[in-house]
Amino acid sequence: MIALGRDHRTAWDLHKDFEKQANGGQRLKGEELPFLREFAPTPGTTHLVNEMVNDIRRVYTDGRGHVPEADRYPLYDGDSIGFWDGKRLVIHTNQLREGQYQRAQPEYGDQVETVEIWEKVAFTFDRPASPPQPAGR
Amino acid sequence: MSTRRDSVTSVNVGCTRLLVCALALAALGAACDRGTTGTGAAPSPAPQPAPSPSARGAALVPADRDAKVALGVQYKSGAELYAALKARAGGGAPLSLDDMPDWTGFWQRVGPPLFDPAQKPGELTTAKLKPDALADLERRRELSKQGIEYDPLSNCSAPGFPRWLAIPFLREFIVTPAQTYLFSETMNNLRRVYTDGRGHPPAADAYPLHYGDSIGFWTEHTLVIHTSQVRAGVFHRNDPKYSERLDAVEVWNKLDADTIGVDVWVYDPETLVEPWYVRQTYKHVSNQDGALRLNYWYCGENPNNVVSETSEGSSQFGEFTFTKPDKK
Repeated sequence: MIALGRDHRTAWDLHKDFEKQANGGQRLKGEELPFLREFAPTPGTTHLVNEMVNDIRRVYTDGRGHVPEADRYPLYDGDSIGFWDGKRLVIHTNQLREGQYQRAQPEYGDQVETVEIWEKVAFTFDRPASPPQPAGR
Repeated sequence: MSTRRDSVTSVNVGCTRLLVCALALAALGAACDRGTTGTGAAPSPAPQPAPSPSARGAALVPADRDAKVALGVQYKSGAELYAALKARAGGGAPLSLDDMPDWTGFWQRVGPPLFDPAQKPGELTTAKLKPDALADLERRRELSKQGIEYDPLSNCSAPGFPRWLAIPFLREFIVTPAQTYLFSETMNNLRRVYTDGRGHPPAADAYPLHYGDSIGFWTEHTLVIHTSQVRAGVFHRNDPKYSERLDAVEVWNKLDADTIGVDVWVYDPETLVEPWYVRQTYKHVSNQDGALRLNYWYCGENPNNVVSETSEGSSQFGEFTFTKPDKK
């Protein structure tokens, strides 16, 4: 198990470490924005859609790298590449504009980069087959 | 104990395998043909390559433009045409993960900045308009000649549907079995087409939306869409306006590796005498090194984009100044 972030100088280092371990391709972002979301995974790209201001992140999982250094400039959602580790999506994002994590939360600069690991966790409802019977009956 | 697990939407792309099969069959047919000619044996019909899923689905509508126009006129509304096409397709069939149409990549519309790419220069419109809509278009076109015009896009409003079909810049078509996303870079416009068999929202819950509500079905690799519940708007900057009673049918097909086409029938009992048929074409954008990216479009970041409409229908730009480099 990788010690999350502790042993890594940058998110890119962390991403590469995951990639090495998973032999395949993620980012962690403190997004707590409201409204509906959709996740549309396709083999080469996963679209992470947020209803608010039609915000769509594209995560390229077809093996491409980030855009060449000379073509980079700060973007609202940065540039995201990733890989699948089984059913887990690992994302690395850089090239972000400076901004704030959330209202009344810290700000970040355009040197920020992130690693996310996305995973679908089964949603289970447990309900007794029949109502519990009072004791003694 | 009951357990519910949400299904994960994932897709598999690639009709490559089918394409290879079709090519193999074509080659086989050609070889057989050469063989019979060379030996002088009695000619036998050459095996025909199996039509591609797109070609089979495309047979849903006539190939000829006039016939397509005539098809639209047979029905009173887009809802009726959609129901007829769905019946003709046997209700359609959900996409199979083993046989997904490959519409990946970036695409750009082909044609002039008018809703109907077939409109000839100097022509007012190809739509058959009711008198009020026609008078409004003539008035606006006359003002436009004088440089007086206003486009809601100037103030970052959504282009809306059907204009979505004709706006410029990059597009993406994201196909998943139960839902297809049609994305346009302009204003980050994302249309959702539900192909899981659901209907439109109940009338009590329906209200006008920039992109309306779109449901659809697949037949082979052809996507058929019905859209209603739109906000009133304009087809394009120099095109007619439409009302919120508009509904439309689209039939989408990938024609070859570089081309996606869509037949569109627009119905609007308030502005159109008969349905307006147009055909839109989108060409694949080369991106071999993957360096071309679609980024977030923030319309309001430039003060040029603060534009309001004047009482005479012109555009009033917000206050801004250009600063000369030496006056920084």
